[in-house]
Amino acid sequence: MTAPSLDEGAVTRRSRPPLAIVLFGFLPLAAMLLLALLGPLLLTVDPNRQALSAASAPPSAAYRLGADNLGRSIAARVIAGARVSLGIAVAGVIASLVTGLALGFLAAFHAGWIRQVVMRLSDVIIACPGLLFVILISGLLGGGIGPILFGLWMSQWPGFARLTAATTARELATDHVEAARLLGFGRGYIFRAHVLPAITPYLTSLGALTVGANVLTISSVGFLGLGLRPPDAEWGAMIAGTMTFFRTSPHMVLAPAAAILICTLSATLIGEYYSARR
Amino acid sequence: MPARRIAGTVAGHVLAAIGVAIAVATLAFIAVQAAPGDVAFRIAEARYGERISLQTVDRARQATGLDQPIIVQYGRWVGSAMTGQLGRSMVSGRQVATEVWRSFQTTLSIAVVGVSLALVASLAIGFAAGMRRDGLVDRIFLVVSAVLSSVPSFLLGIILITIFAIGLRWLPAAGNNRPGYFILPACTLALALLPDLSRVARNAVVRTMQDFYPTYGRIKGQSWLRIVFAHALRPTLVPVIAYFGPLVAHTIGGLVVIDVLFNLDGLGTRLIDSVLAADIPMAMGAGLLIGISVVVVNGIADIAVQVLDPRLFNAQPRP
Repeated sequence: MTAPSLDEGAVTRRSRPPLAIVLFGFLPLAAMLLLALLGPLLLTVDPNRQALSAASAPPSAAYRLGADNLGRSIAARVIAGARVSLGIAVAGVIASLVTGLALGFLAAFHAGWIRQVVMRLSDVIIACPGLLFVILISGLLGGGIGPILFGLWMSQWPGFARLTAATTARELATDHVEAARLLGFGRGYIFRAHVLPAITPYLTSLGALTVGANVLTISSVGFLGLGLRPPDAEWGAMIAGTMTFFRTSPHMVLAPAAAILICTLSATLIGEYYSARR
Repeated sequence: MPARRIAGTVAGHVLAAIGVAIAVATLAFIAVQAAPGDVAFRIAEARYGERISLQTVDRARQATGLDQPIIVQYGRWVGSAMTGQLGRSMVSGRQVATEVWRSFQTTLSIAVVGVSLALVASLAIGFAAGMRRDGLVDRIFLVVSAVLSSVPSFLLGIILITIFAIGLRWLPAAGNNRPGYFILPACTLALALLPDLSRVARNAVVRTMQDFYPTYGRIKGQSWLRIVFAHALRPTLVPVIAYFGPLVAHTIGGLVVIDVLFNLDGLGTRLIDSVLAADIPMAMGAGLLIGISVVVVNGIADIAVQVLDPRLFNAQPRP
């Protein structure tokens, strides 16, 4: 085996992602995020306003994506739903990432009982079906954004904690960290200068994959009627409300379905790109 | 020797099953108790509708034993569960065991058919894609599986219903009282499991093909079919079966959605409805059965893997 050269690593680090990943990963996700952030500015109609004369209208100049069975603008509802789905999905990942990073780092640095507690706790939570967990929590706490977020956070921080603990432990065992320690640098410095840069690709990958999974979970909870309270728009709930009209006016189902597909697929592609690259 | 090992594994799994079952049922109990609001009030509401008086609530409280301290309620349930008594539903008054068992049969038929379909399809796809890594089939497979894994399972179900139940009128769309009711739910489940499972299979095939014996078989003049069925299938099955642990968790989540979509009274609906209605005995009964099923599937997968690859016995001593 040849010794790995330093240049090779440097080149992969700086290389730009391939066109396919940019086109089908970063661009669509960025567009959806922008749509979610700028939502209120783009909306010209109230997503909950019903115009029964326009009920089930196909896409037209007035209704870009058509109207649903109650005559509400589907475009406006898809944008309003983007705020909910992507907002909760990203917030859930950030909360889980912060918790997992803190606990995983603690577990890697303190090999004693802290590590045991964190690891055994995450074993138990990881064994639970995540979707069921979120469904039960949002059902028990009465729906809405808070319970879903809480459920996602509860079921997902262990994944981040385990990943952080494993990758941090590996990084701490390297020679340059040993050298830094011998030179008298503290934990904070070692974490910032050595551990964090080394584990970032892993966490980026898991984070992106989790955003995709979260969009699916949120839509499933919405589909079951346990998410937002009607009439507020959410993609899964939009599909549940209009699926009986799928044959006659498919646009009512396809618009939110496409939104879910775009978000999940792009986030998954980004996640797999980073996981293959590390 | 392997027989004794397997007996040991079985004993370990039985112990684990009892532990997990108790833990899950306890979680169901805590979940119902921890929810905001008075449990007796929710029971009375589920029994008699929205307009109820405080006297009705108190009567429901006494009738269901909810006036006892929580520890006493819990101890009573564990005690009777040990003797096989799961009690009666607080809402309908029916036997929990019968109700949960009926739901379990619905869920089991869907899960068995769905998982079998997914398994067979995954192996076929895995071999088609993995035999030639980075070939045309492999590339198409990777794209299709990425797209399929991004589609929520309820949407897959809606599409299947629209085509086969509403369009072609071949199969019933909902309910579980007509023949063939389980086919569409099972196909939905299979489609939902397919992306992950077929990817595991494909990666296993890629790894198997890197071994020398497929090449050796070719040198000896064996056909690809013979190599696949006589040699490569068995080592490929090991990671696929080992993946059943995460798979079963995925399945349970999917089954809840499928139950609602197809209007089935499977275990998923049973668990969610009972937790929402604060029907403690029913929720604990359903939780118990789900927990046991998870452990049983894991146990079977564990033993199957050891039978398929006896080297695993000696390689790593079980903790």
